[in-house]
Amino acid sequence: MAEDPRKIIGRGSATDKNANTSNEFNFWLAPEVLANPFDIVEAETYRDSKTYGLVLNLEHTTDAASHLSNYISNNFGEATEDPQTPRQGTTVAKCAVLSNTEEIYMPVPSEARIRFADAQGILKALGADAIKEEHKIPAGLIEMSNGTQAPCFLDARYLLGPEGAHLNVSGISGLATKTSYVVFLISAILQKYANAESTAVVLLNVKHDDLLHIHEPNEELKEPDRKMWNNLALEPKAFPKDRVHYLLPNGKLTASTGKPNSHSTPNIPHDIYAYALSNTRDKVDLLMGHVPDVWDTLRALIGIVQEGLAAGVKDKRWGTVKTWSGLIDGPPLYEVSEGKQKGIGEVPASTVNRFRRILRRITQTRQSGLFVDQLSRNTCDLGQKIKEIKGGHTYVVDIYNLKDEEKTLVFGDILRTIYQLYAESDEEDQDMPDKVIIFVDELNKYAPEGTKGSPILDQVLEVSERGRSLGIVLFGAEQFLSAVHDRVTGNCSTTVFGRTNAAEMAERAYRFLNPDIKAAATRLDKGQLILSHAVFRQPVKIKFPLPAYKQPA
Amino acid sequence: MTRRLPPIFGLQQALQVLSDRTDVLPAVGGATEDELRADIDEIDDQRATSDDTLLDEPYEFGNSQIYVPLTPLRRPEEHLFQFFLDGSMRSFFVGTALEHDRSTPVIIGQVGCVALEREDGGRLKIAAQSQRNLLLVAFSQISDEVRSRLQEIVSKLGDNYKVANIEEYGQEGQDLRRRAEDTMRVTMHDIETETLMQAVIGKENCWLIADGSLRFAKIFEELRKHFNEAQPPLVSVAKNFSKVPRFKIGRGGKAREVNLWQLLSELPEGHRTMAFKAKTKDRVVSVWYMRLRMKSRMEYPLMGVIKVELPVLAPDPPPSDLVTKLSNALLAERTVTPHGSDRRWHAHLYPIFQAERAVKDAFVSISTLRAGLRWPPATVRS
Repeated sequence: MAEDPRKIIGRGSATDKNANTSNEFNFWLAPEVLANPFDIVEAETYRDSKTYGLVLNLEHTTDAASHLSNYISNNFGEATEDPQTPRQGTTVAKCAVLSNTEEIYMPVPSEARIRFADAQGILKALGADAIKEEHKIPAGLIEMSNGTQAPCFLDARYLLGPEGAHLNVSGISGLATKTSYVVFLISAILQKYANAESTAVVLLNVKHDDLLHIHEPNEELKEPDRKMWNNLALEPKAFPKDRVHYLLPNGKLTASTGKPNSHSTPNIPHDIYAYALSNTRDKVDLLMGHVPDVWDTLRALIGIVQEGLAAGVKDKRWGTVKTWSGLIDGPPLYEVSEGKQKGIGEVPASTVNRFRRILRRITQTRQSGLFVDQLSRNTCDLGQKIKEIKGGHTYVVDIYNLKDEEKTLVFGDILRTIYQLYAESDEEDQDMPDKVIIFVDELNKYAPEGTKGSPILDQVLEVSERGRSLGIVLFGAEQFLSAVHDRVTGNCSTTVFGRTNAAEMAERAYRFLNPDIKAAATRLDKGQLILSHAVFRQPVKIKFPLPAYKQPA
Repeated sequence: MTRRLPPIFGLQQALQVLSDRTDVLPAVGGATEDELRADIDEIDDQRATSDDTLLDEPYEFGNSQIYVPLTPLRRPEEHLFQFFLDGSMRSFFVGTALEHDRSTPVIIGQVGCVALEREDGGRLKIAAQSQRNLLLVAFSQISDEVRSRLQEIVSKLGDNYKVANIEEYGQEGQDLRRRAEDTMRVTMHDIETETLMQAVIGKENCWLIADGSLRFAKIFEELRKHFNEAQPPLVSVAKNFSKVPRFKIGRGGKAREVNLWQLLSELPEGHRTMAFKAKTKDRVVSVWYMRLRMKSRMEYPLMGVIKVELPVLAPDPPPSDLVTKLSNALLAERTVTPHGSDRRWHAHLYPIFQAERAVKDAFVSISTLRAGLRWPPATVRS
């Protein structure tokens, strides 16, 4: 016979040393009941109202005064025999108060009846019942110890703006399933968000060909996962191939083979992007963001270079500079007169030489093939492609095989292009999607904690702090949340954690989490996440189905 | 959620009678809890056995050894003891009532008893429970008018309330507050009898362990009524016992008399002594001692020893097999213990400890009593 999911599982418990409060309460569990952290329970309280609580931790207590008492009680260490009477003990659950149905925040009384919340109760407890249908984005499944399941909905107004925006996912690589989750969520957005037709998505592929097959269905998707997709009222389908655009980097062999510098090549038409000086002249600063520049001399020179390149033929000195090698080895940066090289403006020759050295290394000696002298017919300008984004379409930009400086350039280019597009657009601009979601993994590389003044960081901060009102939403992921700039994480209205190690959990970035929730994050299984959303009163544990697009081998 | 006051607060009405009809000197600083004497179990046993200090007759059939080795009889093998009974009491001195030149302490007492049942899986639950709330005054020190008014008021509160005479038990000249304790103890024996009978009747295959001596008249009366000469399925276990008895061991010319220390000093761990006949008036028990724990781990020789009494209603002694089987099952009860929670842990059986705790948990604490029960102002002056 199936167990009654509404049975009483315990009673409120308040003691002289461990009181129930408006924020927390305790209850003991009946002996046969199994509960776990993150279960949501309801307590019968005043005026027939219910107080919902999130189980934070469970403690088993006994009447043994000490461990020594237990040793002595077993006939001085008799380990093989069971005691004639098991020691009296109980498991006590510590709960954080989530809400009360009548807004009565009197502490849960001792002996109050406790039950597992039902599916409707779970939503009420979190405050998710107030989310309007058109704003609901399925974000995973909440599953409780008694088998009750409830879909977890995010409020689109807080995920995609205008009330709040941005998402951050962190956790140990391989166990936290960060990329899978973000792509699942994006899939849910494109299926359920009322304004999905006017929402464009830009995904940066940073590992192998993880995101280079999102238009192909996952033939290995098992029935339990399909069921989970269905329980979330979502279709387990790949991204429609007529709405997926792959932008792949040019490689050293692309000219001869026609193949991009990617781990694998998608089986649908795609574009190959490259950077010639002509389409990089306003982005040179992004190439040198990582170079220490204490006295700002390099930045001053970059300003001069960018200004000169922008002026083009109007400036005699810069008019002849057409290629990377022309910039590095030709005038005005390299002119020998009177036997020694001169500086430019107030920038000394030593800085000019340093600039040339770094630029040569990035664009010539250590480049992946991304930098070309001229764009060919087969290569495109990434910035230009991004400017043409359309609502309902997904753009995958592969950066896996690029060098670090190249990755920074590409990500910065995307951010800057989109930001400028939206910041400078007219309201009447009908072609632009209302929202653009940009997803990048390893966000800590672009916006590391404790740094300031790099062009890419400035760009990320710009999007984090002002993107919400413009419709630009950043979905970031990284192993360690603490490694990301706090102004970036602080602006995320939704934060998700996969399995995270204890040392990381001790960092300042997690101070908003209850210690018990932190401990729980260290033992999450693959496919389980802790989700904190602006609308929710406490973080919840969710699980989500395997991706519906083809998974790389 | 409904709020319910503890039953003891029903006695507030009786305090009103005393306020109205006597001069009351409230206890300084509010009600004070009367401490039970630390060695009360031993004193109780001494009283129960005072008529019978020489145990000179072996009282088991089939064994003549002084010390009998035991093997723990564990629950999965045979779940023999399934009920555990203990009574307890708590009293508060709330003031002194004065009438002319007479005075009496006014004591509020709670007396309770619990029988716990142990399921085959080991889980304990309450099988039977009763509690009385007493108002104790010395009847000789108050007028008949006050006494009858008190009895009238308290009788309306129900069967669980009683006005008791402090001087009904105890000795003349003894401190009245001590005599109140004796009076309460008699009430406790009464409800122990009720609870015990409630627990064992109809469950003859399940044995019961009661805490302390059961050699009082009422219980034997009830046992005879229900079991006639059959063996009632109960033993009583004393963790503190009288050291007075002497024992005659051996036969014929080799027979010798030993005191308790001598008898127990040689008793090895996991052994029992032979059973002796003990008698209080017409109430016969077979009594023996058992060492539950390793002597080398104890601080003095009598630690870890319990005294067991088996009420015998038949004219013949109980078979040794039964005594040994009961002892085997008792030996298994040595795990777990209330070590760290009770100084008598070495001889305390854990389920009995839990029964005691269940009784005491049902009593109101001194702070609750102080907060809820106050001397009301007089409304009439006689």
